[in-house]
Amino acid sequence: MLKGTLGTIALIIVWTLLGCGGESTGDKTQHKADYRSSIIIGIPKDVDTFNPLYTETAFAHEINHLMLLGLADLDDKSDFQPELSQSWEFAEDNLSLTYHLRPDMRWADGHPISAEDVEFTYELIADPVVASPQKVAAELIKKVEIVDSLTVRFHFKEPYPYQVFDTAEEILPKHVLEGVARDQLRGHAFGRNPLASGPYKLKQHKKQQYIELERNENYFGPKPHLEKIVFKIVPDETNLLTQLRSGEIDMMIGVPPAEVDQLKKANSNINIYPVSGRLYYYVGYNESLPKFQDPRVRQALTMAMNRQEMIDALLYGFGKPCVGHIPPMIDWAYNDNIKPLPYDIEAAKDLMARAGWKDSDGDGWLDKNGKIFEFSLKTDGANTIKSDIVVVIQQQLKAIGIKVALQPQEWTALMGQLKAKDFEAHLSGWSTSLFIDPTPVFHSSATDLFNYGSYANPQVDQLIEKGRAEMDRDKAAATWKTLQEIVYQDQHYSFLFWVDRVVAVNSRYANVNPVPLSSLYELEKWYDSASTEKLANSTGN
Amino acid sequence: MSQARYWGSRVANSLMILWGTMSLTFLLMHLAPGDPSSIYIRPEIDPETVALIRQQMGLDLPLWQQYFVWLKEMVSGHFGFSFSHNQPVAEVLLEAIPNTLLLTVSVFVLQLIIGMTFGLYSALAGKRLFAKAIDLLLLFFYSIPGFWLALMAIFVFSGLLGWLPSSHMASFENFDNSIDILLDYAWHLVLPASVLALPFSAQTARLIESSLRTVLASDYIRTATAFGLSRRRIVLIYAMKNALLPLISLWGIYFPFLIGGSAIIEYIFSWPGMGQLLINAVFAHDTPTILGATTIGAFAVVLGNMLADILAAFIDPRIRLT
Repeated sequence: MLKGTLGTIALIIVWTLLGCGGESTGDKTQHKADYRSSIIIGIPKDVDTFNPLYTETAFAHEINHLMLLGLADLDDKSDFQPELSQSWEFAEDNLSLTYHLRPDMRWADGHPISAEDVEFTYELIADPVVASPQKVAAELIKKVEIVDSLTVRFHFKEPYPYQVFDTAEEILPKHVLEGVARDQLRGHAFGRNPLASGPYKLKQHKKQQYIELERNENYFGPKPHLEKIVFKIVPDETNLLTQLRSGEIDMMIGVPPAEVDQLKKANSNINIYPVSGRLYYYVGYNESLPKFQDPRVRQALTMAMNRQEMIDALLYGFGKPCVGHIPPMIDWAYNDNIKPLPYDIEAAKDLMARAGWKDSDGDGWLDKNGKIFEFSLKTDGANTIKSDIVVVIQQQLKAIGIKVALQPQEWTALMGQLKAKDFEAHLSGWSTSLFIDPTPVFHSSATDLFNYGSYANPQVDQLIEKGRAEMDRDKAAATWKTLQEIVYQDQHYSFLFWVDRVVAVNSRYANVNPVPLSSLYELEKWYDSASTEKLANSTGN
Repeated sequence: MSQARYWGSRVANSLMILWGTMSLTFLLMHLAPGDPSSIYIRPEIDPETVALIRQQMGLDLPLWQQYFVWLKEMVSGHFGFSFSHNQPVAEVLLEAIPNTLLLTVSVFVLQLIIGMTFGLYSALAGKRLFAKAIDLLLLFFYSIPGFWLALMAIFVFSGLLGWLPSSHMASFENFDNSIDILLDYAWHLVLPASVLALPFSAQTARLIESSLRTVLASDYIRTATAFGLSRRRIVLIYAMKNALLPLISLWGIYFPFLIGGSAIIEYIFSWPGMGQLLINAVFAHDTPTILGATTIGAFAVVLGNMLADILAAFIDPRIRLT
């Protein structure tokens, strides 16, 4: 009781201090936080766990990040900003990185957040018994040293550019998880009821129904404006759209592009935000087959695919042509000088002819030495967009005399076949990560990983190795830009397009700013401009 | 054969069927491509970590060992560990079963009321126009696909009219008293329960109608009429008792649905029951959950058949369970 009262007093003091901190929007901000307000976000899938060690779905990660913070976090410019830390500095030799934690931080239960939590978290991530999918983040970390309760130093095995990245995992409360057997962590109750360090904490989670977050009163940062965030789980897309239209939900992420016009007509109170995504589709070729070894053939195939038409017809314009593996959102490394190969049937035919493929018998199909150019195109048959793309490709390649046999597969079966090189060509998508390392996809040593098509270019290998070790961002940028040029020249893939994520939010909400990084970006700043009911326990103006 | 021996062999048989179904499903699941570790196939996770996770899932063991580990888990009641829920499967199932039961029992009661009422009415009213109209209407509900009916119901009653909630079991607001909570549940039940009950009630009505007609034409009914018993008494007590028999077999078939739920309807209405659980488990390659749910389904089939036989013998003494 006394603790609670003291906590409240402390909070009011901290709050008043923050309010008087000279921020010009201070008063307004406080005003917004004093009103009863919430947002209901419709999502198709429940989270697997609230424990960041085991979260698998990308969106669960975004929800988790409202409750659990890391030492630093990426902003919308792909730069790191302090989160649980105030600042950090690298050692001269780049073999260690020291974080200075904020002094005023507490977990939602009032326990202070300290360097011990950081050390403990990384001990868990690195522990093979814990078997966390994030384990790779601790791979190059030699040791985590507690300098004092608010200073923590990471020692690395070697200098590398992603040191902040690897040390920015969500920090877990040592005092809660310390006694848990490591092999029991996955099923531990923390995954259902986490202890928050961030702006929100879990109020209730009704499985397959709702996830309700409320403000974490112990949060060290500025009080978020919205009092409550509710994630309503509605697996059926049609139902989700109906609820968005009727106002039962305020926000939907991933509106099907075909529905956008209807939605705008049906409800003028809905704002649509197209956000560039990190997902691209491509056709990959098995380069161990002679017919795909000539780069002119691969170029011709790309030029015969009308990518803009695919974007317009299949994505209703919500997409961008793709020229490489690095998403435009990582703008420091993205090479915007590369122009996509034009859609040009005559030029494609010409390239094929130069590679020896001509329609010599007049049957409409290109041939060489009596054999026509045909190949099978495999894809994940359960995926609607992929199934649509392959049909379009089949039609478009027919126009230059190339015969494509479609072979839809079950996804895991397809994965097995790609790995076993049991394919001619496949249509797949990559959801690219936020740090750049194309090793598993394009390096010649990765043919047993994700370099399915046995792409091997020594220059590419060299550039990848150089880029991933380069500490200086400008130099790394130059390397990655050159890499994109060469990969695009080689046309190992026919890069098709990037898919935009369409976010719909009720226009009542202000400050909404979905960015490629996250649809919920800076959710703490959103507020409900229509809310008029004042909170009873507001801290007052 | 004595009663004891009859039940002994019946239970033994049931256990064999259960074990057979479970083992077959286990084998089929492992013959299918992909396993629970499939979700970890992506460039950001290194192969060693995937190997560690597979080891924790027990997927590194030979198949026969996996089988016995799994069988032990089933017998001990844990049903294995779900990697998509990060919880023991038994817990996951125990959360879903009551939700499904709430829906299916409501459906059962609702269809019984509608089906009996209209079946009885049709049997007695004969070829009246109204009876024919009802017949036609029920036939309509019986013939159209459930998912379409569900989507239309949502479109009209939630989307256009805004009368009923289109999804979930309850509102997320917390109510203060239990009456409000109950009303809230009932409110959310209306659409999914009606969509499931209407086609089913058509079946019940038809069955009641035809079987009541046959019974009403039989000798003992004529005798009862000759004795001067009231029409109401004859129909509701003497005729109904025999007319119910075919329905009971139907209930036996219906019983698995009570626990298994309807996957599509639960999915559309975001009802957190067994049907939706199974769909999600299939998409997540969550083998332990799929196996757990299938076992519960098999159990329900066996139990449903047994209950139907007992109930039939109870109502009709001519049937003897030997």
